[in-house]
This record gives sequence, structure tokens and C-alpha cells, in this order.
Amino acid sequence: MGLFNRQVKKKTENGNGKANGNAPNGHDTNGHDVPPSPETGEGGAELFDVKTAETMGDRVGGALRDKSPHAIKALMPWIDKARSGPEGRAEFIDKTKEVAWVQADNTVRAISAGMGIADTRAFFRGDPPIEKPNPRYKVHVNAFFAHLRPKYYEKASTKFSHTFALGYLSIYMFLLETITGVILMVFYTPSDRRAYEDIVKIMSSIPYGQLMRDLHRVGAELMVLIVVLHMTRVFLTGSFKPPRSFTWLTGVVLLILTFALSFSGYLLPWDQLAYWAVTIGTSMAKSVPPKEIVGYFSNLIMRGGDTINQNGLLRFYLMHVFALPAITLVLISVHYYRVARSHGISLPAAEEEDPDPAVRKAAKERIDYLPELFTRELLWAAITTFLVVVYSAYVFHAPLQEHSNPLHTPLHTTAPWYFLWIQGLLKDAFVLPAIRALDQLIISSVKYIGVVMPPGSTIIVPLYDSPAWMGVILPTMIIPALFFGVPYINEWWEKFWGSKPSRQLLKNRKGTVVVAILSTIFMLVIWYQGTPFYGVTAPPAVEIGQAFLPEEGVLPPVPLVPDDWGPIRRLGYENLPDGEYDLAEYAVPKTTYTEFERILSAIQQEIMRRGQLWAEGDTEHGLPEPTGVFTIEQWQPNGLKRIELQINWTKTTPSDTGEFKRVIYLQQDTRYQ
Amino acid sequence: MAEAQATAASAAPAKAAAAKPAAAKPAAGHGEAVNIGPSAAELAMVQAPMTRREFLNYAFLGSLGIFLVVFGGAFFVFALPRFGAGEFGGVFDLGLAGDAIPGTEDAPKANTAARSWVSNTDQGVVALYNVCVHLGCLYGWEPITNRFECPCHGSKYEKDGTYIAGPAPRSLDRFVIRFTDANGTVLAETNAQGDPLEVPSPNALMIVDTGKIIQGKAHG
Repeated sequence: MGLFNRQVKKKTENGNGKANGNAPNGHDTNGHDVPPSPETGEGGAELFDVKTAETMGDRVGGALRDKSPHAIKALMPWIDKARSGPEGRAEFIDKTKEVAWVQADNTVRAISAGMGIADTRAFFRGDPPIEKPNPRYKVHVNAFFAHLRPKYYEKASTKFSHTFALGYLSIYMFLLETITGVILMVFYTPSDRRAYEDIVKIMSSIPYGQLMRDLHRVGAELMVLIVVLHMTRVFLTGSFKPPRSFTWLTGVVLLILTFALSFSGYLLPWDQLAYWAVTIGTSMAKSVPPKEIVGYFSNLIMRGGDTINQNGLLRFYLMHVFALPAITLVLISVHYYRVARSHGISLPAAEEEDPDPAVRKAAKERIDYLPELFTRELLWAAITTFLVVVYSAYVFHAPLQEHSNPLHTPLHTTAPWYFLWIQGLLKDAFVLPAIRALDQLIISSVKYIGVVMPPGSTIIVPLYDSPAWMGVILPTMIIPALFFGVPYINEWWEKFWGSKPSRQLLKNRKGTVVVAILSTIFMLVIWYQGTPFYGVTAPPAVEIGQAFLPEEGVLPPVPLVPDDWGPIRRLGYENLPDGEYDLAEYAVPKTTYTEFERILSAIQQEIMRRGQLWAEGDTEHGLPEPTGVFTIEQWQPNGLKRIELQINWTKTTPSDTGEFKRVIYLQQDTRYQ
Repeated sequence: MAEAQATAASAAPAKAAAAKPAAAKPAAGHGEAVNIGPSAAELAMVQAPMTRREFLNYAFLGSLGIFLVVFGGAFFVFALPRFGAGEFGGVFDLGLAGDAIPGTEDAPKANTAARSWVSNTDQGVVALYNVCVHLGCLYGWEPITNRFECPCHGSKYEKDGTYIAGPAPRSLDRFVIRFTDANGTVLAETNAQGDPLEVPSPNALMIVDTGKIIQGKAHG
């Protein structure tokens, strides 16, 4: 489209027929062109003369206004004059001021990579530039970081309601994670003997340690969210269509890398949450077909062993801290290079395809990056930093459960929220029942012709390997293929219907709207199925225990919400009086109850509800004649309490124990808010 | 030209530039009578009053600068190593003075955890940092010559750490010793010069504070 830096005019001569001191890359690099003196008609030389340039930097950069001579040398003729009398002295002083101005101006130009004192001030005032050619463009030529950014944007593409700054925020999040991550690396050791202790130390005895850890966690969850939103925006505005198809591909790879970064960091605290979530994740890798080759070896290489141990921790650390960030940085560069240099940010479709040429022209009006868009980006960075820090300081705290125990998996272990959709697929609530129903149908229909088959024996049942299809093929092959294929499927679809490629969503891309709505519904449904609320029920007494005294903190299935350790722990050590409490006494809540007594009452009401369910005939969720006892004991004098919830019920089968106990130990200084 | 220059009375360099907007600028190295000061447009911009936008821009940048400084400070406090009790840099409990301190005629006692030698002389007891003040090797007690000798470059010190010979620039560094009774009240503490401390009683508890190092006196 030739939008960006391909339109620099190559000047080989100036108006006076004198050779221009151009830098080799064809850019005009110096300050103002000086017309010849009106008196003598001479002069008018370019300020930048290749022959007298003093350094390589001068020739290549050429940002300095005047290759001004050494100050003393410049002032020599006036020093003699200064001795001659007051007039000469005045001349000398004025000349000194001039030389001082040039030196100062040159210093500012060197620092700002092209803008002098007056230009810099114009920059801050939002005024148009003082010099020609635009010295702000010089900054883009002379400075590395400014060179990465485009010199100007098209006006309509900078609208907030078009992009919501999501691409910018994705990179900002990556930067935030890198900085907070390096800070955390000061105190973290990837050893299975030390990692947990290091995290506890960071959270408790190092100043700002908890803030840094929380920032890193909030940034991680926010980054996944923002990257997904960015992808959604690009999809809905059709900004994946040619010539942006390859950019979309790199974007999908970046999405996968974001998940990988988040997942590899998840293991590092080495607590129960980390250990078991990553065990589940790597076990899924074990089933990638062909299982004996790809699955087996990829699992072994990721884990560094049969189970996750020290080797695995070190490998995940290496991936998280170096390998994945390096690859992500390279891909961000590729992705951004295309956006900034090749095809630019897309314009809002309504304006770009408007029949009125004036509207289209106005949409393409140029806005210089410096200063307006640069200050806007700084503002976004400042606002986001503020929100993230406030949120980490007051609302959200990164969870930490007990030290990882390879011998015990806690109840309600789940994958992190961005992988819950895979866990939902694994529960297979649609295809497997359909296969079973079909199997049932075949069996009952062949019964009429006298053939008797046991259930599950038709050929379709063993053919359908649920974990392989739902756990591996669908989430790691079919769905990613669909994502990667979006531009190409779209192109084929357009050819099929013979429609003109357009990016206007509601007018010309109704099919896309349908696809977007259906896939969002699909994702939400399987995400919900992935949560522990669906399809995983423990025995009713265990459920009661888990509701009030969960084994470990329960992570919500949505990002950025703190984990829940249950009302008892939240109440706090000081508010839990010792004693043995028969819950039947708390059946009816009184208004005079303390917070603790209200919780006891809530437990009793839940127990009674289960008893009621049993009486009504619900043997799955009910308990026969349940009673409960709640005990709090001072276990250690200096601040450890033992808290026990015991639920008893009438035994109905010989194997039934009739008793459930949940015991936790609460330390005085732990805060669970 | 001279008149134009002489009438320039403002603080801004070469107001005469306004009178000669088309002054030819020489190539580098020539100190001719031409004006290299600011052009009219530049001068106008530099002298213009501050606008609201400009002020807010500076204020915003200032606030970002404050944030960076505060963040730098937070990182500094975050990264500074802390010394706990029992770690070098902290306080070490050596137990009863009678057990920890050798006799005045006996060899000094080494304490590896506290990285010190406890020397008892007629003037009192002193806790010497076991690192030679020359270049950091660990010196040792030489019973044959009854002095400390460093194996690396041969610096030699008296029993109380005073410099005898060798490339070391000063006498050995000392730690602050504190004697407390059973309740914790301080009975005696090494003074700021690090002079040897008299032992108040063999039943006093002895503490060596490795966080407080007193440098040895430089020799002549």
C-alpha cells in the first residue's frame, strides 16, 4: 500500500545547484536549507557538508544542526575585538551567546535524535514543527526505538473504538511480565527443595515481594485475556483478510505461546495447585497419537522423568524464563513488523468502504506518531500500570496452597481457567452419550430379528476413543487448525458465494457473525463443563466439608478473582473460640449470633437439607439422619489451632463408614482474605 | 553588522538574527562574521509563554518520573539482602563469657559461624574479623611466634590485631562485643574505637554483632 516510509523524496541537489550532503540511505538528514545571502548572493550552503563532517555519526545520522567549530576556535576573532573596547566586548558577548546556543541546541539534538531546543518545545506544546523537513521524522530515522514505530498513522485507524488499544496492551503486558519476572528471579531458585520456601519468603519477608508476585500473576491472567480479546477484535473487524493473512497466522502462534508461557509459569511455585495442574496437562500430552511414539516421548521430554520432579521443574523454568520469551519476542517482532511497515492497522470498515470519497480521504488523514500518539501510548501504559498495581495491592493475591505432595491429589483439582475448555471436552457430554444412544438403538433394533447383543458391543463404541478424540484430536488439532485456517476458510467462503471481500461486519459478513456467536456459545458451554460444578460430585458429606472447610483454596474458574479458602479460615484465628460444638444446637439462627455462630448455623442447615433430601428419596445427594460436631482445639500454645468438622449418619450399607471427618490446622499469622 | 550586534540587548543570543534572517552560514571551521544563533521562528518558540497543554505534558512526564524513581526505590529495598540472626551480618550468641573467652595467656579462639577470632589480652577481650585487611584471605594463629599470620602475602598481626608487618594497610577489623546478663540488660559493650573490652563476669552472656565492624587503625 506504500503507506509508510517508501515515499521519502530523494534530493540530490538543492536549489542552488550545489550537491546535497545526503546520507547514503537517501534520507535528507540535516537541518534547514539556508537560502543564499541577499547581499552577496553567495553562501546558501547546506549546513551539513560531507567533506567536513567530523565523525561517522555525523555522516550517517546528520542530526546536528551545525557542524559548529570548537567554541574557542569560533570565538577567536572576537576575542581580539573584545580587547579593543566596549563595542568589541558587546560583540564578543553576543557571539559567545550564539556559540552557546549552538552547543546547547546540538546537545538537545543529539539526545532527542533530531529535534533542537525549539523543536522539542514545539513537541511538548503540540505545535507544528519549526523546521523543514519535519525534525520529528528525523527521530524515527536516527533512533532505534523510534525507528521501530511508524512515522505516522492513518487517522481512522487510531480510533479507540476500533482497536481498543488491545494490540498495544498485549505488548505492554508482555513487558510487565518480563520486568516483574526478572525481579522475582532475584529470589527464586528452581529446585524442588527450595522453590516453595522461596515463594513463601518472597510473600512474607521481602519488602514489596508480595506486590511483585501479585503483579506478575495479575499480569499473566490479564495477558491471556487481552490477547484473546485482541484476536476476537481482529476477527470481528475482518483484519485477517489479505494482505493480513500471514499476520493472523503469527498471531495465532503468539496466542499458543501465551498459553504456554502461562502454563510453564504455573508450575514454578511448586505447591499442590501447581504440581497437579501441570501433571494433568502433561498427561494430556501423553495421549497424543500415536501414543507410543509421539505421546510417550513428548511427555517424557517435557517432564524430564516419569513424574514431574526436579528435572521437570528445571525444564519448565528454562522454558518459562528464557526459551518461550525469546521465541515470543521474535514472533512479536515479525507480527509487529508487518503491522507497522507492511499493511498498517486496518481502518474501520464502514469508513474505508464508504461510497463517499471525502469520507475515505478523511479516514486516511495522517497523524504523526510524535507527539500525539506517543503520549497517548504513554497514557495507556500509565493507566494500566495504575489499575494493575491497585488491583494487586488491594483485591487480588496470587494463590499459594500447601507444598506439593506427589502422594495425594486434593479434591477439586482443576486446570487453570484458560484450559478449562479442554477439561470440559474431556467430560464429553455430547458425543459419548450420542454414541451410547446410537449403540443402544442398534442393539434394540437387532433384538427384533432375534440377535442378542450386550450393551456396548456394537462396533461404534470401541471405534470412538473418547480421550483421544476429545482430549487430544479436537483441542490440539482440529480447533487450532480452524484458528489457523480462518483467513483461508474465509477466502474460500467468499469465492464460494461470489461475494466481494468486505470487512463490514453487520452488512456484508453475516456468516462471520453467526460463526462468532456459535463458537462463543460452544466455548462457554465446554468451559462451564470444565468447572468442578459440572459432572464431578463427591459424596454429600465430603461436599459439605469442602464448602466450609475446603482442603485447599478453591480457585474460581474465571481469571483475576482471588481464591476462596472457606468461611472458617476467612473468619480468622482470633475469631474462632475453642470448644466442641454440637451443630444441632445451631439449627435456627438467632440475631444475637456472632459471625462464628452464624457459620455453624449455616453448616447445620446444610446438614439438615441433606437429611431432608434423603427423606424425600434422593439417595445420591442426601444423607440418612445426619448430625454434625464442630471442634476447635488449641494445638500449639503459640498459635496453632486444630479445627475439625465431623459428620455422622446412619449406615445403610456394610461398607459405609457412617462418619466423615475434615481436619485443618490454622496458624495464627496466616491471613486468608 | 557591528551596529546590529551592539543593539542586541536581550538575554537571548543574537537578537540580531531577526535583522539578518538570511544570513549565510559558513561551513564548519570558519569563524567568520556570520550569525549562527537561533532563527526567528526558533527564537519565537523558545521565548513563548507556557500553554496549558505544555504544562500538563510536563506534569505528566514529571509524574512518570516520580513513578520510576519510586519503583527504583522499591526495587532497591526489594533486592537488598537481609541478614537474619545467626547469619553473618547479624548477631551471634556465643554463650557464657567463661566458656567462650580464652585465658589472657592462651591462644585466641576461632568461631567460624561468626567469622571471628576471640582474643583475650591484659586490656580486655576483642573479637577480630577473621579476614585479613589486605586482600581478604583468612589469616591464622601461629602458636610458634605467638601472633596472627596471613598465608597469602605474609601480613602479621599481634594477638589483639595490631599490625606488625606486611602489605596490610591497617590493623585487623573488630566486631562489637556485648555482654548481657540473663535478663538481657547490657553490662558492657565495645566502644566506637573498638578498644578491648573488660569481661564483667564469667557468667555474663557474650554476643558478637557481626553487623557492626570497626575498622582497624591505619599504621604510619
